[in-house]
Amino acid sequence: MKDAAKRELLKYLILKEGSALNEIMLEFGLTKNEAIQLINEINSYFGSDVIISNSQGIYMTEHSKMQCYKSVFYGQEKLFYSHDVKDRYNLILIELVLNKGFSSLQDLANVCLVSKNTILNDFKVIKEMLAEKGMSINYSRKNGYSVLGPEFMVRNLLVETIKDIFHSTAGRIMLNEKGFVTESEIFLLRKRLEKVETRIGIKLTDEQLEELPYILQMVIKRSYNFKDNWSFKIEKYDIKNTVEYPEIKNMFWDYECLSEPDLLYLSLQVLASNMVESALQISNGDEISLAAERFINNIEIYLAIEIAQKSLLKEKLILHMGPAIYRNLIGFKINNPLTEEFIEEYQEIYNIVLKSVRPFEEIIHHHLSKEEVVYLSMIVLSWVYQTEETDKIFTGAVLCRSGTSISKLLLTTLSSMFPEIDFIGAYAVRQFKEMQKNVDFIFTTVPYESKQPTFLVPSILDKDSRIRLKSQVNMEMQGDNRMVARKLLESIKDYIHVDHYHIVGKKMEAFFQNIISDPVNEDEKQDEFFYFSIENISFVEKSIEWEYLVDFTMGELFKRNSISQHYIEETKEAFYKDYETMLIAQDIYLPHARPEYGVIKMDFQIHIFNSPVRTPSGNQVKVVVALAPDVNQKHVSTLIRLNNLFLDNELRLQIINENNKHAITQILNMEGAEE
Amino acid sequence: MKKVIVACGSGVATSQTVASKVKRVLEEKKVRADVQAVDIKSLENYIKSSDVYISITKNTKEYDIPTLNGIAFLTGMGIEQETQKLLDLLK
Repeated sequence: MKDAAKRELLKYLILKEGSALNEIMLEFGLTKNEAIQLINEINSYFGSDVIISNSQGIYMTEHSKMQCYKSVFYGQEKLFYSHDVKDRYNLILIELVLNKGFSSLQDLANVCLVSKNTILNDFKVIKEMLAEKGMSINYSRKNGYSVLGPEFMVRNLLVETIKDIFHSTAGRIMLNEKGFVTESEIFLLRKRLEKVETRIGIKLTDEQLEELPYILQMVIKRSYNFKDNWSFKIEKYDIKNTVEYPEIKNMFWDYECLSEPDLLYLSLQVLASNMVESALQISNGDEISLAAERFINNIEIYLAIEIAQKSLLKEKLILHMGPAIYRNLIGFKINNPLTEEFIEEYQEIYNIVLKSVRPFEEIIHHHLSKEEVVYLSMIVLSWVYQTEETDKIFTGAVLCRSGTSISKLLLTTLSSMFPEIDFIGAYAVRQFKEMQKNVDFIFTTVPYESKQPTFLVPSILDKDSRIRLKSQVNMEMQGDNRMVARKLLESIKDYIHVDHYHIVGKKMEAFFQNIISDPVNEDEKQDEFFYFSIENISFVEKSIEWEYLVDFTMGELFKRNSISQHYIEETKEAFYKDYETMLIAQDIYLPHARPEYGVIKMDFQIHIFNSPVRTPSGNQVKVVVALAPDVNQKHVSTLIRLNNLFLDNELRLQIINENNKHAITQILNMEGAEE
Repeated sequence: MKKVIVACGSGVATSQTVASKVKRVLEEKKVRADVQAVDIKSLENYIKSSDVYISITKNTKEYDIPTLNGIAFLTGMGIEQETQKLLDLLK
């Protein structure tokens, strides 16, 4: 990719969570049309929508970011030109834990792209953080800086730091760019993990399958560089004698010099992962099974309810608690970014679960962490929320990085918000892709590319996000009335006599697709004229391609939040088919679509072109009135006024040739022009 | 009362504008008629019960009722002829 603008835009989007078209226009000094064109050209270069544009903004998935990084920047250009303080702490820790050679202040400053003084300042905070975990930073003239502490703790620190980096924007790319890992090392381990998944019947989450190769590779690097004898004691469970251990150990068969504790530690990383579904056979399995029963019993007593499908819930709890016990064995805190948010939102259920977890705590001999209790609360809450089936019209799916408790809770919340959607389940992105299921709506907590309407949602929906999401989904539903008619007919098919099925279908389609407009009622509309301000007038100096005319002319309406992206798409489809009749006067074009396709508020934008656009039939387009019609037809009186103004040749020429927007608004707002 | 149907692609802008203009002309001429604007997809459902069809689409289909050119009401080109035809049809 040679074009500098495209490279810069890609770099900008890779390093950001997401952006908006306006931000891109400002950042790169582009018009809306140019920005859209640039995005389209990038997507066309990659042959897929690596940059996603929808009503929620413009963004890239982590997968697309990596794809573009490898194709455009890898080995050619550095992406990061600075690091925020959190990234710097993480980079310093990884460098110190992995680097066998002499780590000087200058080396660390080079990795973090800051001065030596900044590194010294960062050290102060890092030392405090390490002291809390029983570790320290040591300096010797022979080895430079290093992390001192029990090897088990140092490795856990390394793993937690890698996980933290993975949750930062483009964190994975950062690890590659700094040379901590190579693509081939990661590819090899990922493929081997996929094989292990099949062989021992576990299903790693998308998140784990992305993270684990990096964790394993860097732990191996630590093992190679620091070969001191070390060991760690596993209490209670004999992992070496599980069926999984030999299989996992085998995936490292050609990594020489790994000691037994090294292999055990690597295996624990796999076993402690969040698993979507696990066939894990833990020794003393009965103990967990009994604990799960007692836990459910406690919940029923405290909530004073009878839980439905208890055996399924028990199974679910056992599947979750298996890896949770391994996590506890190696002292890992599960990463649950929603802990505080969940406790705040669902305080009561959290307290009840906290009181009920004693049976599990008796197995591990200490308290479950707050994060683990929140995970259990999510499982319980989604179970308790289960309600009776109602009539469903659409299908939907919930996607998240892990496909575990978070998305299950989200699934329950969404099911109660949208009773008309039949949710087929909550899945990890990878699982969903493999299933190849077609649904009408996708709700996802991570950016996901799909042709279906896809909503990027926070994992826990607060009141504001619920209201916003409800309105977005409703707009999509209304935007596809044909689908509503088809689906609704399907859902009531059993209640219609077979002889009438065809006619009912036709009537229903007519109802949804061909809603007849109300007869014109002048009395109601006469006095409601749209007031034009200079914001509603655009002078267009540059030449615009016919294919971009609708995108361009709808731009201001979109910016003012008067219409949705879906409305623009519908307008494009209608206008390019019927532009010859979509007029408000001779050669004055009126691109528009029905308001239910996504009009948020009635609006007009009049574009006067200095370089006339040519239609495919060769006509000159001098004026375009972009319209966001009102659902109650309030725009009609203004259209009549515009029609009369443009039919008056003198006024028409005055509007076209005027270079003062105020003068044009005076004409447009002229009283009596509608007569 | 005779019925005039005006249809465009969406049924919300151009057909509404033309319907309003036609209604006003008919009121001025003291001709009573029911004027309705519809979108092209629902035209089939209403054409049978209408007496005159004013089209603002690229006509590809012929109907059994008289059809007038709706673009004339928007652009003013040929509006007198089309208005006269309409008045004659509604007599």
